[in-house]
Amino acid sequence: MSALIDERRIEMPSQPHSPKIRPRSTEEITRHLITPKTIWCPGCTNGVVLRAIVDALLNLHSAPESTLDLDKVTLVAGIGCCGRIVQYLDFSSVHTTHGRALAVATGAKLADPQLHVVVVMGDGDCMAIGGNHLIHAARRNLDLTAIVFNNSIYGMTGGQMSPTTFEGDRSTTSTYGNVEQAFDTCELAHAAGATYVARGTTYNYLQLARLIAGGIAHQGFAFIEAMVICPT
Amino acid sequence: MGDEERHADRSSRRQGRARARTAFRNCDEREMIANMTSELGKRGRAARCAGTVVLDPVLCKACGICVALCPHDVLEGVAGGPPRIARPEECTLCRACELHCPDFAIRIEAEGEEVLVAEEAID
Amino acid sequence: MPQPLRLLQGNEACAEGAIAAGARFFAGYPITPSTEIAEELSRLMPRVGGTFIQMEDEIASMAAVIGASLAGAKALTATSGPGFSLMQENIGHAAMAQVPCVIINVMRGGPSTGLPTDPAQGDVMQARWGTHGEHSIIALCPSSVEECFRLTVEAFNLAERYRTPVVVLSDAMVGHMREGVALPLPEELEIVERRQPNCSPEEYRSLVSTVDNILPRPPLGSKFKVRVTGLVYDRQSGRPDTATPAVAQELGSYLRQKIYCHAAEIVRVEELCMEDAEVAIFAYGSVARAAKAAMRWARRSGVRVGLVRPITLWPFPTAAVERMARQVRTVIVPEMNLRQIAWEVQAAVRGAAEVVDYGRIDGRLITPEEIQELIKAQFYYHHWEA
Repeated sequence: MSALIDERRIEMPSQPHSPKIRPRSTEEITRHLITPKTIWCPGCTNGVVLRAIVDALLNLHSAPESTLDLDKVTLVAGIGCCGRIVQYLDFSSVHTTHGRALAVATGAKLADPQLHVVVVMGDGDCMAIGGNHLIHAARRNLDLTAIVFNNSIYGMTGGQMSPTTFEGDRSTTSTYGNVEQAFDTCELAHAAGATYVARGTTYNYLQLARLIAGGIAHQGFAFIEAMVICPT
Repeated sequence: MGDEERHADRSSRRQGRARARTAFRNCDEREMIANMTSELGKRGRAARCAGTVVLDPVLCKACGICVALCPHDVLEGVAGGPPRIARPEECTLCRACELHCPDFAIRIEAEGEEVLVAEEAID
Repeated sequence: MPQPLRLLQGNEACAEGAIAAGARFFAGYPITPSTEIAEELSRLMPRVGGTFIQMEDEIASMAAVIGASLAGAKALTATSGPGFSLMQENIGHAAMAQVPCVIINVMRGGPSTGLPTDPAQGDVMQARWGTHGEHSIIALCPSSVEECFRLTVEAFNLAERYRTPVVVLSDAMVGHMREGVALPLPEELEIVERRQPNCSPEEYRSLVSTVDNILPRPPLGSKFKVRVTGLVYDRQSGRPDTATPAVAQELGSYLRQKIYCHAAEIVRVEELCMEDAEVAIFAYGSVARAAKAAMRWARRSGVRVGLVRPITLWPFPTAAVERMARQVRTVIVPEMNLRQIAWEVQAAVRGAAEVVDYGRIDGRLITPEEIQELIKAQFYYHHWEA
């Protein structure tokens, strides 16, 4: 495997991979929301990742010697249940076409490198239709933070299988059980060149918030896969 | 797929789900919070009267996550509605309910003493 | 005083025009016959502090153009038929979300892979309707190297003024030919700069664009909260609203009126020898060059032929066509497709004149001689000199 290792990446100075954070109170978090009343189903843990993102941003913003300007935070969201986050987070946002969030984020970041670009995508948005853009955004190692809300399903359209649906699982388009395999998206991001790759779950909230904070603080392409639940 | 294979497939998935439920009950996070709060709980219990569990019934979607996660069974699920704060005196202000609520519907308010959270226990 | 004569290729002129207009972001993908635009801009953009990026495909290119434009840069991309097809979804997003940007489509033989190195005009309807849903768009059609330069500058001005994507419909011939051009100096060009709101964020939030006062959108990263979406949205708050029927109706009507109410300012047409014409030729792009030659030949033979050349293809120059139809008895519409614009001319003419269409889709240019034959058929009683 040594032939596949990029020497530049090995020589990168080590950075704190996930800064400690002090979780903020709900009141403080909701101050940065347009509304806390979301349309997500009861039990959908998208809201937990939403909280983790705001928590991470607030912690980074209030850290000593912080360079995070909240006005410069730009959310680029794909299409899907998680894409609705643009209606809840009170930051500048771009709700793009399905699968193209990383490409739009690339353009925005290149045109204004001062922006803190956070890209929110679902598993279908990022890995299916957007798979190509994931590979190249990671390859370019642009300073973007990609957060994938992976619930292994296409939730908004009613429960179709996605590239991260496991073999044998039933969905509305795998009526007899999925015959395809899921793939490890973190491996893909890493192989393509991402320099910060993390996986968290909404079950481990504090870890997730720290991983997101680490990704936003990271200078380079950060890929955070957040495992979320679709109870519906 | 023959009948026998289908049956075997179904039963192995049932076993898988049962295993997942067991794992859920014995999960690290819950255990860790319980362990941590038993230490801090000594302090927490002293402070518990100074803190309250506040539930917003408008935002609550009755998903049951807070009920499942509370290490001290402070909350009790109510069918079709927000949970009941059944044992507020057991609350150790760990904030697991608040941090895991997807709808910002439950929070811990503490007066005087700062609310403690298990951040030191992670990592 | 214009600059000295330079031998310039059409595509090169497009690239220079973009830079002169203030474009500072290009995202594209190589495709014949537009690749020279990307290559030129890869050379020119860094020199003016702009950004050039070759994206992984045309879909990503158009998406990146949208992102860059929202972040405050004048942005463009360049492609040909197959890439133009791929870009349609995002062009629709730009139209819906009102993102100023320029797309240069150097048309080639289609459909599909078609004739990669040969000219055609088969995308003219696609430029209008390629993306789904009710929307409006502006499309300009150069027929010379100098026009490649000027119309690219104008495309950016129109995009900024009307907050819309603008398509420049060049073709493989106009894009690849070389002509001696004396490009105008920067100070001779009218450049429309992107306006910034000059009020507080609270005041700005209470304002709504009207058809006559299209408000600028602040860039991402400013103190204004910018909310962009492809969903139907409420024009004041920018918040998506798919539940209220009136919102969708109002938004769609506004997006159309924003451009069509200003058709008189947007639409440009070149009219030659139309004062006394009996027959008119309605031609655009590279075909207009042959049409001009045919018209001059006809005039030398003493036959009253005029030329109407749409420089703006969309919005369609209906007023100019109506005027033409009242004056002449026949309109000849030669194009390198099978009567895509001839249909539009027919509709605008409304029976006031006869429309003779002529189409060629073999990748070869329509020659002046072919148009001469069409003119001859209109003047059968005339004694033609050899």
